[in-house]
Amino acid sequence: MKWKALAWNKSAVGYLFILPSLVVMTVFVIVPLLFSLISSLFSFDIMLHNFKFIGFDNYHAVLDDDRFWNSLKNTVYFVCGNVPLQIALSILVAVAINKRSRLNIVFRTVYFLPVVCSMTIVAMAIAMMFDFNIGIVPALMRQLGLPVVDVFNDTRWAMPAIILISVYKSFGFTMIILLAALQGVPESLYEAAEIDGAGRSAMFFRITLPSIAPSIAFVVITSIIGSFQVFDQVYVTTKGGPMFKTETIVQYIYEKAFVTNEMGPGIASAILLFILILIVTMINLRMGRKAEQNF
Amino acid sequence: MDSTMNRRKSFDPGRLIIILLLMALAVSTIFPFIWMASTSVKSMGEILGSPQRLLPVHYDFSTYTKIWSEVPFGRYFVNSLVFSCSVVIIALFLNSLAGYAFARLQFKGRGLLFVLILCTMMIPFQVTMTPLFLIIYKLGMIDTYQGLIIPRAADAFGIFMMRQFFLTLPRDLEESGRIDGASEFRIFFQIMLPLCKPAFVTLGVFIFMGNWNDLLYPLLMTNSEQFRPIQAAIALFAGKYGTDYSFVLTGLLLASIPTLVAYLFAQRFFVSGIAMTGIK
Amino acid sequence: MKRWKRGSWLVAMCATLLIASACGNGNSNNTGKSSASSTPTAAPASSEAAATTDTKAPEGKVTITYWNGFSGSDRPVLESLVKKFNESQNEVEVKMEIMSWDVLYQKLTTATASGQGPDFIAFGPENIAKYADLGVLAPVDDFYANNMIDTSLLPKGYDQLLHYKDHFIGFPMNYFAHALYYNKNMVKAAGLDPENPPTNWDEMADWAVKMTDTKKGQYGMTISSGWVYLTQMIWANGGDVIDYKNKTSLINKPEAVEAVKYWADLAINKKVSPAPNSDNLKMFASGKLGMMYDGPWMSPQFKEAKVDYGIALMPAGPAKQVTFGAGLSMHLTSKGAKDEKVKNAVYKFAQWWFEKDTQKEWSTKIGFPPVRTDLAGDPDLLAANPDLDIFMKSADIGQPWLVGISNSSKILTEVFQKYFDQILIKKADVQSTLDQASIDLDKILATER
Repeated sequence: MKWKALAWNKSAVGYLFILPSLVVMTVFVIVPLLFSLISSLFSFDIMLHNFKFIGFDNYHAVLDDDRFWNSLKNTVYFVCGNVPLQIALSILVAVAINKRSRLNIVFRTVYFLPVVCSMTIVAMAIAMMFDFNIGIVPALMRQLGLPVVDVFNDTRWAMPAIILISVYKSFGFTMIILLAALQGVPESLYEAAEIDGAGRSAMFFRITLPSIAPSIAFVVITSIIGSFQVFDQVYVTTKGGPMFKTETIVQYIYEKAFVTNEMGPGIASAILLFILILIVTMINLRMGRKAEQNF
Repeated sequence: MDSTMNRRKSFDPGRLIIILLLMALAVSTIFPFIWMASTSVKSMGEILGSPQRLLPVHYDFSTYTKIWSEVPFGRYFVNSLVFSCSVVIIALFLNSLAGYAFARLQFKGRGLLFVLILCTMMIPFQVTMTPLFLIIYKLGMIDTYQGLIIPRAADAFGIFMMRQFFLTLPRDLEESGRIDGASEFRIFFQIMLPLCKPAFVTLGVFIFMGNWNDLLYPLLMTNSEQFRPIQAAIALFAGKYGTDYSFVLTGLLLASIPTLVAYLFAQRFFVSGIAMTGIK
Repeated sequence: MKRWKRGSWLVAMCATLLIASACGNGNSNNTGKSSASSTPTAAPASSEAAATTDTKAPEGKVTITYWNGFSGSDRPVLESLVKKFNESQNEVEVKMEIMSWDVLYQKLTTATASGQGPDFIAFGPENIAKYADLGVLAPVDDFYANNMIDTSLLPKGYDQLLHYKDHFIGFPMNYFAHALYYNKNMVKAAGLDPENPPTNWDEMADWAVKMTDTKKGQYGMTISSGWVYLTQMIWANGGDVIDYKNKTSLINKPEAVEAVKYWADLAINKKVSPAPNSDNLKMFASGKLGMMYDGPWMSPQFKEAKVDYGIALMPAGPAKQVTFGAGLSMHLTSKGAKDEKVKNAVYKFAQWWFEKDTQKEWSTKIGFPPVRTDLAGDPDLLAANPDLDIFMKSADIGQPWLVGISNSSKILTEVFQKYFDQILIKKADVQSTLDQASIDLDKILATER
């Protein structure tokens, strides 16, 4: 009888439903995060001995480090390159293959293929394709008499190349989500517009885009969050080089924590990144809400 | 870009250009895979000597046999499969429970808890990995399957996705259940879960991909060969095999096959699955 | 009633499952026993890891765990040698974990935090001071006090690698030195004699210029900003980058500046070198690079790529003939040192590893010179790999670096790589750049004095 009472008590049922997930996330994510947060105010060694309270010294050390600011700059460069490219490409493709046909299903399947492989694999394969010496792309360009750049060793081209890898790897993912959203757009809207004599671009901007705006907001937010944490493709291709031109914040965190063994600044910079992402996401959500109201 | 509203059957140059562009994109998407496959059967001399050729002159499949003896590829394969599949099964269950609660049940602090869970998406793994290791160690779960699987049993993305999915299901389904006097659990298991198939397939593929492709996490949490994931094999030969490029590419290809197969099997349900999650 | 019970039962089951697995680690190890390998699994995750290791070993053997990064073609060789050791006696069982080096350092960091981790580990020399300072490594003075190996047989400079702050801290594992590789076909094409490789800087520079043809994308030699490549040129000019005794920078002293100017001029003005971080291996293997100086790990790859290459001692600089020579060493961890039995087992393995037969097999199979000099000129070794002759001779002019510097990784990336890149890529003025590098270097070194 007690159980029945509980079952009717909605709050209790709700808690029961989320309890398992909540326990897992608390124990394995939230507690570690809090631990890191607190430990960033201490100095300690790799064996976790000699804890000494040092206040914000770790944060000062990070904020005084030119290398951190450089990595922040590179990360912003990456986000600003990757997110718009990926979103624009996937919107265009999703709209273009929205209609159900055999060909479009083939397109859809192909575009999604890189998504299911790991970033390490994709990045390694593409880096080898563009390799100055054994890659097929530079070899073909040489045959055509075009100038060839060693992209991952060039201070100007390394970051664009990494952005390209990321777009290649993930645009299919965004596309699938947008495609799903598009299928929820009622046909009748287009039919009505066609009767009104609206052109294609008018229909795209007045019907398609507004209808899938919430989905676009979703993919923009998640891809910004993901892009700020870019690491694998950098680590595999350039390890932050040449001349720190591709060193992103997570690459910086990695270097601090595991290469130079400066755990404190490593964790501090990671927490700064977390705060940064949080702020950017908040702004995004705000803007998203405002945009929704405008439609 | 405006093809959706193109309903005319007659010849349309705009549509043709779009199809050509789509084809170009498809070719460039699939090209790296073809290049990987063709280079993996090239000899060293050909790779270095004539990189501009796509197809090899002589096919050399020796790397495909060599790889099984040089790297314990088969065992890593099974390890990853066991790990990823277990996570998929448990995580789907927990995520759908939580997702349903966040979508349909009223309880205090729902909004706050949900935001908290979303926040966990923003934490780089490097922040939590050392304390996470300590916790698993204190629980005595280093080098065990539960130590590998349980921390992955719930994740923000999955909960978020399942919540969005349940939000799109019509409310009258559960209301009728409630009128019949069914408990929330019964409504969930008997009415809601059967409708989850497409969402499960989609999320299942995502979770499988995520865990199959993960390197650092399984490596940190385990010390013995019996848990070593397939990506560790990749990390082993990345760069280590120097000029043996065909060998490396063979490994990359073989390691991607399971996710590719899983995807191709699931892809029929895929779009409908995401469509129903109504992430919008 | 009955119906909803099933639902709640599932939830309850799931919760119990979680709690049960979270609390007890109970019998989670049965999977380990069924695993294919006959070696026992690592100590199960219990708080007394060190104490449980020997109880897990078969027939009362002491099991010791060994982490290293020999994950390339040397992996099967090392595995078979360790197997040989395990079978050769019934006191010690070495359980090895091979992973890539970068994974190893990450795992070590997290494992050490919980007092887990290996009993001994292999390291590059530049990491010894750092991990010794962190308390990860334990001194092994009694190993040498008891003369378990004959240190007089070690290559020149090798004993530096085994010392840290007046203690012995490691055991020799392998040795390598840099030598000059050259592409015979390119040498011939440039009208030079491949049987008379350069013996000094000017000859090497001359060869480099003659083999360069930028139109064909062909370069005479590589001048790299990374690792030790430019530093060893500074040595050859009588300078160094660090005064290791006083922990001060020497990188802007005249000898250093002169050496860097010499090679930067060749790279920038004569364009003999590809971009400083290019993949030398691929370029050399595909016949686009005339000369490079690097370690013995290159030989098998060049052979596999069927390059017709020659190999020579590092050409002498204005001041002396010197090359980079160092080795990976094995180190007892403080976790391993806690248990006398484990420690002695590690000693036993280290001693066995130094034995002539072991070294001979290791050396012939992986193509590295042996870590004991009494094998120099051994006909079996030379028959197996003629290149070894040069590398064994290099042992006499070898010099390690960054020994005893805790912040070596930081110095490598934030000083050497950074400023040498500025000189070679941005063509910055050598003297002023190295002055700036010196200031940065001194700042880092100041924390270690």
